Amino acid sequence: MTGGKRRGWWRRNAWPLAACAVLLPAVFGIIGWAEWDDYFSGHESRPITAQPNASIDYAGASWGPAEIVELPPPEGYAPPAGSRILEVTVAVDPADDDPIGCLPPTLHEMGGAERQWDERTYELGEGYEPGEWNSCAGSGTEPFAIVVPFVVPDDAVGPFALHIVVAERVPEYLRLPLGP
Amino acid sequence: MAASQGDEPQQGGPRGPGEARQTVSTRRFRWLRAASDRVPTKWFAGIATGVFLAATAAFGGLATATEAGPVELEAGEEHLNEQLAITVQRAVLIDELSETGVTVEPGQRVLALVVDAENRWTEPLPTRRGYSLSSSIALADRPAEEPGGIARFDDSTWSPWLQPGVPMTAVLAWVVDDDDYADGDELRVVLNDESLYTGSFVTSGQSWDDPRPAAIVTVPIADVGAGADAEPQAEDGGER
Amino acid sequence: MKRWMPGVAGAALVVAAWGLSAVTPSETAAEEPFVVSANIGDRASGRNISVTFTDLRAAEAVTNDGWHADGSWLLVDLEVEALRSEEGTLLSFATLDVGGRSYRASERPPESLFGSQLAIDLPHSGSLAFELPATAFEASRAQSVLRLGLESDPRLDSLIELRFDLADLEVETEAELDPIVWVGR
Repeated sequence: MTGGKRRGWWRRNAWPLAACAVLLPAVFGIIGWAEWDDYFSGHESRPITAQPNASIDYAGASWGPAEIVELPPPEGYAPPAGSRILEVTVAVDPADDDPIGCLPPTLHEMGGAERQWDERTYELGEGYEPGEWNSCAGSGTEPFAIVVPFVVPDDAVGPFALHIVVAERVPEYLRLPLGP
Repeated sequence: MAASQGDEPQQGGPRGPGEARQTVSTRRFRWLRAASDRVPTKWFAGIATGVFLAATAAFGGLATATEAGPVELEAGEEHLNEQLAITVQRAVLIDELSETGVTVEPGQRVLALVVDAENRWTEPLPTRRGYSLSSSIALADRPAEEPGGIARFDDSTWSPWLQPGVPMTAVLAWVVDDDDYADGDELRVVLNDESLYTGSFVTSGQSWDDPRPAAIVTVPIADVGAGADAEPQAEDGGER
Repeated sequence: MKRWMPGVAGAALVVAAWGLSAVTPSETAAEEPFVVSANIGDRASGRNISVTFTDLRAAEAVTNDGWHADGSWLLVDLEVEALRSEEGTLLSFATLDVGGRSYRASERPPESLFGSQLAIDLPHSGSLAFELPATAFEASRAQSVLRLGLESDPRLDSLIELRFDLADLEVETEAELDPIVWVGR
């Protein structure tokens, strides 16, 4: 039981030990990476980001420019205390002959708490004049505009981005920065 | 572990002070050895088999025990198991019963059962396809077919949940061909008992599964045509 | 080796094994929900849900939007909001545990907060209704635990929990669920 004897064992097994030192982390690393990659490839994780006030190609269509305005409360609708209504309009041009399909867009806070809002077309009631489309479902092959209202708390001041997901293109999704 | 000398005094060894004690103990237990030598160890297997067979015979022998078949019940009689209390009240043949969520094609009608049910377990039970009432109640001549729709009798809530200890009257509906059943037919309804399974590994929680027939209820069918008042009328705001 | 040593070592190992099994967390411990306890009147917040319980009412009949039902009902009045995301954010989990049994918020009232969509930082007010056995209000003590969450499978997300005694509530003959109102703040 001397130090010399012990060093002898280490030295004798130097190559296997070195192999372990490389392979063990590699095994966990590869398995972990594969699991996370599997997860991320099933979720919206890769943004295709447009320049502000510009259009961009995604899923075989041209998207944007997108603009955001604050909307006065529509007639007959009392917005919840401490809130305001933001309306986003996105021009869409399906370049291919195939109509595109997308879910209603969501509004995202860039920075801060990174909150995300669902659109509220139906919440705003009869007094709200909705755009023709609040998603791409059934919109055909002609250029059209998606118009979606959001109800956000007063402390949400932006900047915002609009996210649009075409299911077949996940994990890629479209990210349209809005306004200032 | 190596046996030290002191562990086994019977083995003898160099004579010493322990000798006298050893002799005494040997003598004291000699009768035991004598008795054990006389035990017919070769017969052990035979004796054990005999005892086993005798014990089996006391419970009815080695033949497969005949399982008690389903109990025969009449309409209005309650069937109890660990999961549910079920009383089939009546059977109705009606042109349509969209309140329960079934739609009929031309040439089809709806066979509906009015059933009193109570959850006897400790957790709420859904009644949708594959659960509680849907998997516990079947028609004897189409045992694999779960009801196409189920609703509360009083306020026609679709696929209602059964809260523990809270009784409910439910309407279960099957879409049938219009010549399958007729007014006055005796309908045979199978009531199944299910077993409670506890999930492990990838599944979790507890669930009832593996329905087995436990009772058969005979109930006469009443044809109410398009259904005026006599049928399970379930409308919003309905009261018990 | 002393003769007594194996015995002592064996006993020590048995004690150690017992101790280890006693402190081992249960199989479900790794997926327990994160419980946030609440008091009536105070705002309690989890990951993506914030709840303010405003009142508890017991009644022998309830009404809601033209619907009526007799029975033993517990009404829970509350304000509830999301905190981070509105995507798929519904009040999908609402259970009441009392007397060894678990009840789920009733799906029967046409307009209850059960299953309703939440909004970020802008609370909705309304009620949840629990339908209980006829004898529920007769016990002299009925420790109850109310839990609210966003997923019908509550594991690994926040649950807002309110503990109270059902027997402390005065039973009204009839009560009405609060309408769902987006009150904001």
